[in-house]
Amino acid sequence: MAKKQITRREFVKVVGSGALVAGAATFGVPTLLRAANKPIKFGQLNTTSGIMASQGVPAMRAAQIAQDIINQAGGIMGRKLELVQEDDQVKPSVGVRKFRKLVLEDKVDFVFGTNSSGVGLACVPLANEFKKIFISTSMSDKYTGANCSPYVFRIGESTCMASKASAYCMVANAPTVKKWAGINPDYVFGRESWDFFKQGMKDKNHPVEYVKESFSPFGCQDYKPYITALLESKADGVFTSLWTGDLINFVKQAKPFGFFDKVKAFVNNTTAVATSIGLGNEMVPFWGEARYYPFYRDSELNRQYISMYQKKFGGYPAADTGAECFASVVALKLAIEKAGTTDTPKVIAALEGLEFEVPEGKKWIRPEDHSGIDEVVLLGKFHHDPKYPFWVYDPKTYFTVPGKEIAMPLSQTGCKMAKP
Amino acid sequence: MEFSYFIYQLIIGLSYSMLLFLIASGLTIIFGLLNIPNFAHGALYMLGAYFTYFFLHSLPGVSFGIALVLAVVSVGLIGAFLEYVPLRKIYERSHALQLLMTFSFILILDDATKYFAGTDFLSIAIPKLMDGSITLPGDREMPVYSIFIIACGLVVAYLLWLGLYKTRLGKLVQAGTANKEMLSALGINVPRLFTLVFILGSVLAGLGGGLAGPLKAVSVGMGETVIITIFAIVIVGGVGSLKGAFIASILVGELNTFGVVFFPSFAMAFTYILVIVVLLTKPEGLFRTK
Repeated sequence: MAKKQITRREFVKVVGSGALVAGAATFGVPTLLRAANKPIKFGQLNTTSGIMASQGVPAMRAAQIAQDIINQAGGIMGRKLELVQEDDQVKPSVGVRKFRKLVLEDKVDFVFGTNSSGVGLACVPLANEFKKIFISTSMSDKYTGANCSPYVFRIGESTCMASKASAYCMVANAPTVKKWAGINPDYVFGRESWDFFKQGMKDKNHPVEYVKESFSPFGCQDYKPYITALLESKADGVFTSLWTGDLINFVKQAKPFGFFDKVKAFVNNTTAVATSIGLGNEMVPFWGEARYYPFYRDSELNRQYISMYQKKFGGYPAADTGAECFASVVALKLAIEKAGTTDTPKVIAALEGLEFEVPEGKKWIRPEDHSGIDEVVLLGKFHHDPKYPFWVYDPKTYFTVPGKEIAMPLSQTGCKMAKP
Repeated sequence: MEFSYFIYQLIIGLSYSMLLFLIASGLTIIFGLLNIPNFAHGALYMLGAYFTYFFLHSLPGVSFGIALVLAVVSVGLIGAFLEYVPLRKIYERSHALQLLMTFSFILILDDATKYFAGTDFLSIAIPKLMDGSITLPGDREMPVYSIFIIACGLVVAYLLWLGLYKTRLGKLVQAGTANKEMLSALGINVPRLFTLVFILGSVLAGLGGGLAGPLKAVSVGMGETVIITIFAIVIVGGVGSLKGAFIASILVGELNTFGVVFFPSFAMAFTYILVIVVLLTKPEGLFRTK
């Protein structure tokens, strides 16, 4: 009995002193020292379920590759980088909920991602409310427009750049095509794309006639009426900003109509490579623009990105948004190191004007409006090359435009950047 | 507008209508007899496309036709499992609960598909025999595959009509749709009838998916994009009515096609205006037999 009591007392003592030690560890040691061992958390929002999963899953994977590269090289200022990834289901309401969760529950330091501007723009007010940096990997120019915010960045090519580059490419490569038509998804991205394409034609003083403009619902099942109406308009050239699943459905349904023989030029401003992979042997020789094209740039980083991706996941890292997610992680890492802290206002200052290298080339973040601008934007015409598992750009058709030339001029953005 | 263009768009619309009918016919028969709103019907449609791709690319020398048949059989087996194991436990429960369970099926089947097939888009080629088009007056092309879809829809409609109105089993299905208690009172094996009908419905969903394969990006979630339209058709036609599903499919397909051609900015609305008009004037649907 006595022995037992002693044991219990000793037990209490041991536990008690243990708690004391733990307490000292928690409260006694300066916060700074503890923070040094804590990982830096990046929250990521992309779409990994539903029909857009084919874009979101590779986006998550690309960020994981960036995480691996950074952590293998010692992390960020000696701290590990930890990604917290959430599915936004390509729904603004879900994106907003997950953004809150990332900030409030996971206590991430920064947020980046989104495949659709519909979701990303819905998250902007939260970035302002929580005073958290949010780097968008979707394309709208609105992130950096009249409602620009010190907390919000758009890392990559904007709708304006992609659409104008498409127009410039057509002026150079299909100068005889004068009757143009458009088929675009019926939401902000599709409408803006079509306007910027026409603006691009105007920039070049290229005299063209627009014989048909059509907007199809996102996730449209039956493109045949749109296809027949386009053919009926006798357009020689067709511009489209349909992306991934929608573009694949369109091409598959248009092909049996002889659409790609009747139309002399067909140009797409987004997700071209993913479309080529999805279509396999069904692919057709159209002009494509992709935010990331794996086979253009010969650099150490690009080779490392592709080989690590292939080793970990198989296949090519071809999804457009993937490259932008990779770029977001890299930009944040560099900015934190430049600032010497994860303190938001200091990281914002470090991001502004940051020049850095990503697999597709060099990027620069324009300080005035937080717009990411690529050194060059690339287009090409797809052809079959037995060396590759899917149709690739014919290297003879490579067409590049300097990003600065097609970025929306600062005078037109309407952005008046506030102080954080 | 020229008359020939009108006829041309009518045929284009019909090919969409018939694809919708293949999927909607299965759903309406299940909804009518088993009285469950089977949201997983879209997932079975998706599986039809995936299985067709799988058989076409994994078995050597298999043609599209054989791959399609194998796919349809596979989807039928999955349907049998879904009915026999979980679904029959909840026939007497509320629609809300049934909806929840069939919705869970979608998520499970979607994730299973993602696990086995990945998230990349897959592409099924149009069978060689049906690649290309025939040229109609006015230099307009009509894809052979679209004509084939129309033919499939009409043949399936005819076979279902024969089965439903000319066979004993079909009469039982009709009787059960109208009054279930009467069937069991007469000593009919109702659970077995339910299983058979659920398999038939699944087979039709799988057939729709397999036939849609060459026209679509085969992908996880392709079922969700079609299921709402299919439910609209079933509601407009009248739950359980084959004739209703047929007519409503044609209405929805043609409204969509002519909407896009003439009033593009309202094209989406037409289907749902039709739904609202029918719900207000004939809440039981155009052809409900009850």
